[in-house]
Amino acid sequence: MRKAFILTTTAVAVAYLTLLIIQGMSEEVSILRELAAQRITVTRLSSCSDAITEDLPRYLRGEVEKEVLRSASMGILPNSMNVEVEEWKTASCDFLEGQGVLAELDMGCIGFGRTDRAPEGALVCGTSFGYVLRDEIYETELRDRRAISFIVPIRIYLMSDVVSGFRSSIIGKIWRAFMGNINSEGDTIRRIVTETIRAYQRSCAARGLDFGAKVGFEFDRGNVTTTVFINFEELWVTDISPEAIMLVNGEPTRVTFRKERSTIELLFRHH
Amino acid sequence: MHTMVDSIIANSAVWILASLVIIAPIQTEQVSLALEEAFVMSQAADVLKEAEGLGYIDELARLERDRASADKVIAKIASLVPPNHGFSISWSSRDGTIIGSWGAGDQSNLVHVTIIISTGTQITQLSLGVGEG
Repeated sequence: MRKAFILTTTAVAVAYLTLLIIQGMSEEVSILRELAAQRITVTRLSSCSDAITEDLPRYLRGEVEKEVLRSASMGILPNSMNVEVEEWKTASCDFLEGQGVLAELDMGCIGFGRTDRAPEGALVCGTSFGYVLRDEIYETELRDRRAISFIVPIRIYLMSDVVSGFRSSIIGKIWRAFMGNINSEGDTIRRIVTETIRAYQRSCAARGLDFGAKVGFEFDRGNVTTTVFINFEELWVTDISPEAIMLVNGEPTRVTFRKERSTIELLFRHH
Repeated sequence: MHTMVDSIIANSAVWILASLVIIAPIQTEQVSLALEEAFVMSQAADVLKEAEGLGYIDELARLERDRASADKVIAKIASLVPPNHGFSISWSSRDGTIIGSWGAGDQSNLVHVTIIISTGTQITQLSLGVGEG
């Protein structure tokens, strides 16, 4: 009887000791596994954060290039309001959800400006991007807000300046010619136009721009007034610098700033 | 001469040791697998980060329709994977259409890291799987 009691007590004690040891080991193992899982979570969140912050400028650059191409073909400056990021936000949230990450993305307003360094007259795009990434299981959170700024090396502002400058120059020269001599002849005006076009072509070529213009004119000479109609039939500038090539549907494309046909009317009163 | 106490002590020790011998390797293996997964995942994330820093991802984004050139860029990305590691790279569009897939070495037990790549025509995903051995 005494023997049986000792054996039973010992068996219970040994079982209890064994359980304690195993439990202790399991706890340590659980902690280690938890640490490993948390490291995976942190790596995943960090990788997702890198992925979206690297891709947003890439996406924006493509959209801004499309806007530059569109506006240049219409002879106007690009408008940041035409750049949409909703598709990217949706795609990013889908991508993050696929990684088991809940996301809140916050895009600031997109702004366009003119570069203050080389390439001269190119476009600089800036915005701010904030995000909160949250792991669903471990509730680990990663949040940040950063400024995004990049240059689209197409000299759209310079091209616009050249076109405006050319128009002003032609109008100014013809106006001065008629102010000097109201009876100026067509040959004089033709020479002014030809010389101005050549001067602009030379100046543009030196700056890596291809300039072209076709300008016509008509006179309406009356007894009291002479009216000069200056027809800007064609007026374009193409950025031919090596860095100004963009991909449109995979094809290398150059941007041409093309002004629409327009007519300027100058009225001179005879004295 | 052995007493009953001696035999109880010996039996207890054997019992406890046997339990530990059976359970410890299982627990250790689980932990080492989890730690290995975390380590390999960080390696895969580092490869993609380095590829981004070196401009390979930008380059790849421009080569969506040029498979031959894309292969060369993928080879550059693959060269960043640590030696003696198996890897797989899968490039797919948002709807799941595979644009290209590449791989080398042991393809089992790969740990994947995925990034998003805007190509100008669509938004795609690039998944890199890396495994030891």
